[in-house]
Amino acid sequence: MTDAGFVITAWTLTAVVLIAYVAMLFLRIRRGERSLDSPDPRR
Amino acid sequence: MEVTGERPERSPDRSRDELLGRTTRRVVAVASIVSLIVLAVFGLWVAPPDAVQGDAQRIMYLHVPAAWIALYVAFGVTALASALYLWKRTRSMVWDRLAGASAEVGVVFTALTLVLGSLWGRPVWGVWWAWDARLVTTAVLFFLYLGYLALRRIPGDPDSCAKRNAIAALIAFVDVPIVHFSVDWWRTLHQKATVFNPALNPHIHGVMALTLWIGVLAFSISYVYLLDRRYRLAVLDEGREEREIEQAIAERTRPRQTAKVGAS
Amino acid sequence: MSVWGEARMVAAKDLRIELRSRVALAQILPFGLIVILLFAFALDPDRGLLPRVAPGLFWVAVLLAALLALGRSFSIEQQWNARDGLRIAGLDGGAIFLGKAAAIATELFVLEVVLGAGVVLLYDVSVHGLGILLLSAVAATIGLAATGTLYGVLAAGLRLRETLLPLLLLPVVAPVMLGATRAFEDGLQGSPGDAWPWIALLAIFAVLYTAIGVLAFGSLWEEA
Repeated sequence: MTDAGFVITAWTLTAVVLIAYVAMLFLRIRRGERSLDSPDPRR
Repeated sequence: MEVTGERPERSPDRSRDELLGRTTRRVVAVASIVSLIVLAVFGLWVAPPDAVQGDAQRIMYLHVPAAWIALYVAFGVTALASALYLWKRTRSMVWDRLAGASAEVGVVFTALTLVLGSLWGRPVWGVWWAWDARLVTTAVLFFLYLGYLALRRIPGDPDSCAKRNAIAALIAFVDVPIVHFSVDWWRTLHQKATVFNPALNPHIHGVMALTLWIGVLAFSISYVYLLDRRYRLAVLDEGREEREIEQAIAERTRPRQTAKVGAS
Repeated sequence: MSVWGEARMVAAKDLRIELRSRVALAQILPFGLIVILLFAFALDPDRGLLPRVAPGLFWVAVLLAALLALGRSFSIEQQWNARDGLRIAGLDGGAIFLGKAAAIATELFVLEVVLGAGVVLLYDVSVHGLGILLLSAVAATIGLAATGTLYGVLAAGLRLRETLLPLLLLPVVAPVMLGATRAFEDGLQGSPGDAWPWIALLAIFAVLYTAIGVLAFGSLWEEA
């Protein structure tokens, strides 16, 4: 892999990781806030 | 989690349901995205390629800020928050949640640091890994806090858990300088050419230094945003367990004696 | 009773249980020996590698055995409500810590002597500085025992203790592994003078984590 390849991999990976983490948090927060309104004990 | 007839002692601290207010959060989110874009522009385009390392050096603009935020900010916050929890005068679940949230964000950034370091090291020095003090300490740190996160996942009485978690965080934190010192000493004794030195090169000037600081800023702001969101998630998770317990208790004490309560 | 008296009592209890049940002797010690043996298979005795890696392999084997010993130390408390019994007896938390850690350290040290002999015999190493080896082993063992007992109580009541304890403990004792191995290298290969700084490191670690243990064990024990 050329130098450019490593650079692109690094920056893309960083973007992916950060976006994925934010997305995961966002989805779980939304699920949590929904259950505030309609709690289902069997979940 | 076991549901007994008596409710266990709980002290959910509702004094802070989230860290940042809604407006502040939006501002931070925008600032985070903007600064990261600026970092990308500077890091990938504006900053010149390094005289020695070429374009591969651009990875440094991610690796060093990630390392700094993870090691000094995220885990520092975890340690401080843990201490504040243990100190009776400031005891509050806020600190426990903050410690956990910061540790998780820290672990993400640390993992990123290690991988980015490898991606930087390979083209520049030909190795995916090197046994220098900073790298090894970072790796040990990663596992220290991974263990802490695993410990946090084990449920129990909130106050006991918070105390246990706080002590664990501080024990780990105390170890960090010892690890760094001992590994550093070990490696200097061996006098191997320190190939892998992601430390700040004092010869970085001008645009490259500026880009690095943009990176630190961008990662700091992003950390704050992630911390806020992770904290919010922690609050929601706590609440969720309580609510489920209350529901299950309500179910069980209902007049229908034949009702079977599902496993919690 | 003084803290020391209580600690001695707890240590005596743990060691007496071991003498009667012989778990460390019959299970943990053979485990250590077989690990040493298997390392030799993995590294091919004919390649002359074993003497060079002997210190590291020795301490890895000790560490793995220590994990078993620590698990055992806390599982005996779970039988027959022993933990509540200790609580009712009103023993000082720090004393219980010192006692349990001392018992572990003793067991580990005996283990190390046997494993050490095994390494010398099987790996063909020569001993240049026995004093260095003993001193560094003592310092390292105290550090391991203190840290292990501390994490042991932290994980004691928890469902996932067996898998959690190793993950928690191993990163923390990295400096001990480092220092002990380097000291043993010098003691076995023959430049004993170089071991002293590492022994100092091991000693500092031991003192530090013993102090932390004395302070923190009590409150962790109550919650467990």
